Amino acid sequence: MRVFRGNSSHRLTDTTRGLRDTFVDLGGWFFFFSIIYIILLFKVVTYDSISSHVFFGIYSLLITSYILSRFLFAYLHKPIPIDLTYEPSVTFVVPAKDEEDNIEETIRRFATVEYPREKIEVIVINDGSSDRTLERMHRVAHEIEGAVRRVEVVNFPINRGKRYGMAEGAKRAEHEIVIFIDSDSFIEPSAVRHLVKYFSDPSVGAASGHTDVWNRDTNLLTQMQAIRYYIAFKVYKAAESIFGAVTCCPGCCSAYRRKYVMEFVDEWLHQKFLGVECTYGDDRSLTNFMIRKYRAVYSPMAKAHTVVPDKFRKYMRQQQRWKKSWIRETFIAATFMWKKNLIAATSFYSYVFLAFISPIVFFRAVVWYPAVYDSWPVVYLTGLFLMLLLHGLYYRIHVGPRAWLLAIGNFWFNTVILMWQLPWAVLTLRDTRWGTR
Amino acid sequence: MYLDLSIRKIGILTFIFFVLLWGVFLTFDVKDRRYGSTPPFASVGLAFQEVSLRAWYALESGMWRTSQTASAAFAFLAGWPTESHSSRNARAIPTLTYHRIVGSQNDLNNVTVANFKDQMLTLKRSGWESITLKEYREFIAGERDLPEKSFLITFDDGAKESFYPVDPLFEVLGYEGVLYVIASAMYTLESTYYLSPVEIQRLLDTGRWEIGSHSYDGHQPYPTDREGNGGIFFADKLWREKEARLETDEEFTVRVREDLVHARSTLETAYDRSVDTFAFPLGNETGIEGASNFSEGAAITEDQAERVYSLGFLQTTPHRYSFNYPAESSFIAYRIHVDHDWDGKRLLQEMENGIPKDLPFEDDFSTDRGWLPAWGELDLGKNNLSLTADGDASSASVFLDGSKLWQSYSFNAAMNWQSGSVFLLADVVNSKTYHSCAFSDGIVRLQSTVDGETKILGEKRDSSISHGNDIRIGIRVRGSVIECLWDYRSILEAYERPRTGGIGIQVWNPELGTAALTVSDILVQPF
Repeated sequence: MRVFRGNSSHRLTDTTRGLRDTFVDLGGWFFFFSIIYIILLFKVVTYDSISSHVFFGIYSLLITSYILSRFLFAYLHKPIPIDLTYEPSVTFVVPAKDEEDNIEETIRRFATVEYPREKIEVIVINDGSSDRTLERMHRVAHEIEGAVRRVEVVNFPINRGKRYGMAEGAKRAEHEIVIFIDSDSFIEPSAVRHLVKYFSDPSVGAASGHTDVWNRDTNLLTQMQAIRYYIAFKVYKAAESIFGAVTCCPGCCSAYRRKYVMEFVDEWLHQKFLGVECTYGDDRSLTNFMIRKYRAVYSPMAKAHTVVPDKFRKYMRQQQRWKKSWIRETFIAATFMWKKNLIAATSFYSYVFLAFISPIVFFRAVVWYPAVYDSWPVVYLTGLFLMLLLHGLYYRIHVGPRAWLLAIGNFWFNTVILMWQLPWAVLTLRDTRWGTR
Repeated sequence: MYLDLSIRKIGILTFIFFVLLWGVFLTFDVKDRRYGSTPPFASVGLAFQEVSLRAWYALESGMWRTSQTASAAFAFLAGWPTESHSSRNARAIPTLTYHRIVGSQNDLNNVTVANFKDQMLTLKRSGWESITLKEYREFIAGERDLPEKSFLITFDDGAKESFYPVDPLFEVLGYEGVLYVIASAMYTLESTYYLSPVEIQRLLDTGRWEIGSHSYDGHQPYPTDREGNGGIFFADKLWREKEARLETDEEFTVRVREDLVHARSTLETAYDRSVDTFAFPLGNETGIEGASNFSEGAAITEDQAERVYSLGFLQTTPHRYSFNYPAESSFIAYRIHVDHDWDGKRLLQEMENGIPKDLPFEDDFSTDRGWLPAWGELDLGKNNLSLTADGDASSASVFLDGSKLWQSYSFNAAMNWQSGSVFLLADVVNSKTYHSCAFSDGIVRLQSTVDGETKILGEKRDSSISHGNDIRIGIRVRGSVIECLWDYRSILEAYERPRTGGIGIQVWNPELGTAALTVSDILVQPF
């Protein structure tokens, strides 16, 4: 927060700073649209190869229009203003396992939210932790007792899984809106108002907050994840949100209408896929149940921060988990998404197509073609690089310089690697071994 | 729906959409208008090259000019004498031939960018200025004077690499060039090798370039027999597939004529200007060395070319003076081929050696002053001129480039003469036409050789004429008198002198491969 001194010369500096920022912003946007311009030139120039290989040509055009459409929709997305007359009661539900380092801060934040005391309750679930999580829970619960209506600490002596924790919290909740927070996520004081404001519309069943990376500056991996999180929310979720068809309200910070959740909580809890009970992808699954009948939105101003893996192996395992849940839930969503708004449905099915075809296209361009024709896949790699540059530039314009260029390079590398987790995930879909962290 | 369709946002999106659309269309329009059918990626590369080269040369020339001004100012202040370039008029003009200017040496025909730049800068610094075709023609016709160090620069084939690496340099140096275009090649679609018509038009619009004809389609090999073995379009009879036989003389003539005419009309129509000069493809006299089945072919081509064009370029050979002289003006003019391994200094030497030389002239062979090796082996190392016959020949011959305009002089040479006969040449018109004093053991002959046919004008026996380590011989010409000198004494005279020209030296020995001579120095004085 800037401290304003009532000094005229200081105001002048602010103006010049403002001008400079505008100049830099304009420069950033100029660069951004120059990239789009170059991408368009590329598409025209490679028209021959597009028209000669219809399948891959369609892929090429589709992926470009899909990504550009995401930026377009995100630009057109409009959040609604806070309605001070609409103040539903909220319950914070925090399932936790072995989170002694972060759990206190997570829960402590609930005491600082800008919302009437009596309308807040907190339910934390200790899911068979082997460390001092339970102890810390009790301690912090005692600490915030006075700031909220009630705090309940639930203990599972033996680990039952996040879903059970979330379900238990939802069932025990006495208030209207259930807000799920991860045990390593920290919300901003204004987040609650920004989450609940959407529920004045009875068609809304879930709202996702905007989560940034807490440990952004730890290393290149976390910086790269910071960009991905930012883009995933600000561009992709915003685009989905226009039609109320957000496919995943993440467990780190999302709000659900309790009444609607109760309609399918048990079905969700005991969800089975390919004969095996589902342990991972709880948030995506819950959202999927919700959007069958109701709408799920994204609230860009409901801010929270979460801790992301800073070690490569942990990161890869997380990504692999997410891929598996994505496959499962996308398969399920594909059965009813066509009923929704035409644009939302088209976007969804396009994305599914693109996600599965990308590894094939990549393989063809980078492995097969060079092997057979002895030519570098310059066009493909440049196109890929331009797309990633576009995302990175977007981040740079909105957030500012933070080694974004290096992160792009890393982003590229990881995209190329992570792409392969999808086919692998398909193959290992029934394997629940990596279900836990 | 949570959609913001405010006027502002829609307005901005529409604006950006149209700007992008306009940008994309404009880009391709510019590409077509500047680079014709060149493929897009190549066009980007060329655009890049153009912009960066012009910027770079502008910078370099700015720096050079600044340092020139600075050093000139300094010299002026210090009272040093300033270097003044020759203010004499040219009496002969050289023409240079290039093909492509390439980034890295890939074959022996093309000059690298580095060498080319070195060559042009060296010439410029020594005061050489390029001329246009028009200026050249007027000079040859005697209608215009040109400064002494004037030269014509030509590029054959009409390739992209003849223009893009070259023009930015020409712009900065104030040089001009002539591009010899293969008329059919310029229509090659999506070529990254040849210039497209749009680019050639742009080249002409710079005002620094002219074009000439390099045939319509006479630059590639065509079959000269049933098996399809390739021959030279302008010198060999081609195989007629349908009739399963070689062409007749008539068919050859017609084919050649049609190509010459077609090339001229195509170029004149495409660029709306007169195109009346021709560079013979594979221009060692239309590839006479490669001609396999029709010895008269090259001559017919030359004849036909003369009917279609007013000037034809061939490559010069060591049998001729390398520059072009007004007095001998004919349809054919000669060009110096710039070799791939010549740096600036070497090219400068070649060109300065060809400038008509002044008398008196002295040569101790410490540097090569322009001795043309007509045949045999010439070695100018060790401060001597060494002449040796090839293994299968009985003689070797050299003559001095730039001596063509000498009229009245006394040419004396000191040499080591151990065997065979030694000839001092005077009035050399070319390697096959000259007068000579032929010294053999005990006898001297005055001879006139025309196109290789020798006539004896006089003969004298003198026992003092004998082999030795350090003999002095001479030949003296003035008016219609030719004299042979031994030890500075005139020992033979003739009063028939139908031609004038420069000097040369020959050695002869009946035993093949043995003729050899070493000359230590020469002196030519006006007489």
